Amino acid sequence: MTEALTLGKLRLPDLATLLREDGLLLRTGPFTFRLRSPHAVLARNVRQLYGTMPVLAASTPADFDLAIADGAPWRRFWRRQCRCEFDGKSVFEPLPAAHAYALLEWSMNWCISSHAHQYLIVHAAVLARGDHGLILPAPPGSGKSTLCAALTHHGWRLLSDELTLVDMQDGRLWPLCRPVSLKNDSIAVIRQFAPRAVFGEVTHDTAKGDVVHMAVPEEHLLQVQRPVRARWVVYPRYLAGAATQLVARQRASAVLDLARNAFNFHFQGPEGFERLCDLVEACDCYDFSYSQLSEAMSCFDVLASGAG
Amino acid sequence: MSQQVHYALSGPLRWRNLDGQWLVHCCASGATMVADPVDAALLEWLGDGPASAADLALRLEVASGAQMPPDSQQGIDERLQAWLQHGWVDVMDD
Repeated sequence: MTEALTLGKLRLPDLATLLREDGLLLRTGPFTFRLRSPHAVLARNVRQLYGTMPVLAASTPADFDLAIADGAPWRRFWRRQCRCEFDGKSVFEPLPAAHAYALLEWSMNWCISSHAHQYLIVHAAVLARGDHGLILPAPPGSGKSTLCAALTHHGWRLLSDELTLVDMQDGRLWPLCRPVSLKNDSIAVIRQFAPRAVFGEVTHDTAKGDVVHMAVPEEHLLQVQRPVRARWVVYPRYLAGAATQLVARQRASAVLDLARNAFNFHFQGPEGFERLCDLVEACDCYDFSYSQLSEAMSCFDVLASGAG
Repeated sequence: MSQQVHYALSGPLRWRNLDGQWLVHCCASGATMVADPVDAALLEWLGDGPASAADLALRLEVASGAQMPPDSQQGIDERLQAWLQHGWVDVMDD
């Protein structure tokens, strides 16, 4: 049997050429992207972070056509920029060229959250133990991604760091399996917590500070076709010096918060409301505060052990 | 004058009870909220047809069998104004 060719096995110059010319086809969860870019930083990070993904045939249809192009032509010679093109049209303001990879990840999120309305899409991390899904909705700065990255390396399967895809047909949560975005202090915290984790290059001085992406472990990618049922909704909050605490939350309030954090709740209409209520009704809901990752991991172990 | 304004639901409602709390969703505007017993009663009566704050205050008094405080109509009007802002109800007069 021939071993499948993966992006990580392509030579970097070949991958860069694909990105510059025909476009690189990248499948993440249920979506296929055709990516184009002349930016070398993007080629290096894609190879590092999506290295275990298969090289797809050029005839594979793409859901999204995305380019991280150069900015204005004269900018190639002075403070080079990058900008996002979706279906050939510019979206968003240009950014410094060094931010090209971060812009790619943000743009991929935007493509999905703005167009994939076969899902109710909630701004939340989602992981699983067995077939039990754990949803972590939280605003920026709450420690969601740090917690998500740590759980990914503590026996939980990563489905997504940013976008929870709730299937509108049956309510199951679909894996997206994209790298976890870590910012500022959490970069060092996770490097120390998970020394075997694979990271991309740090993008400095973005609007969110320093950003780095952590690759999805290969064994999680192998389960990308395995959706789960939501079992817990946990609202994490990192508080320096706080004791680890898991407090039950009313389900009705969880529905309201998830609806507020959803990108397309209004678009889904009454079916979205019913789907969200069904999802939450099957879950235990909690507010979770923590300051120590090791204690947080123990707390989630206890949670998982009671899943039945 | 605002007491004379008649309000109507902007669309059908969906109700779900989770752990004893009523969640209500407006199909027209997409607005969703946790309804307390007064919200629930007022929305139910608005489902019977357009009503003013005065009409609703009277129905509330009859249904509860209690003497309502003098500012009850104002309180109901404030709820209706907030619902108008969030797309739960439309104004029928004027």
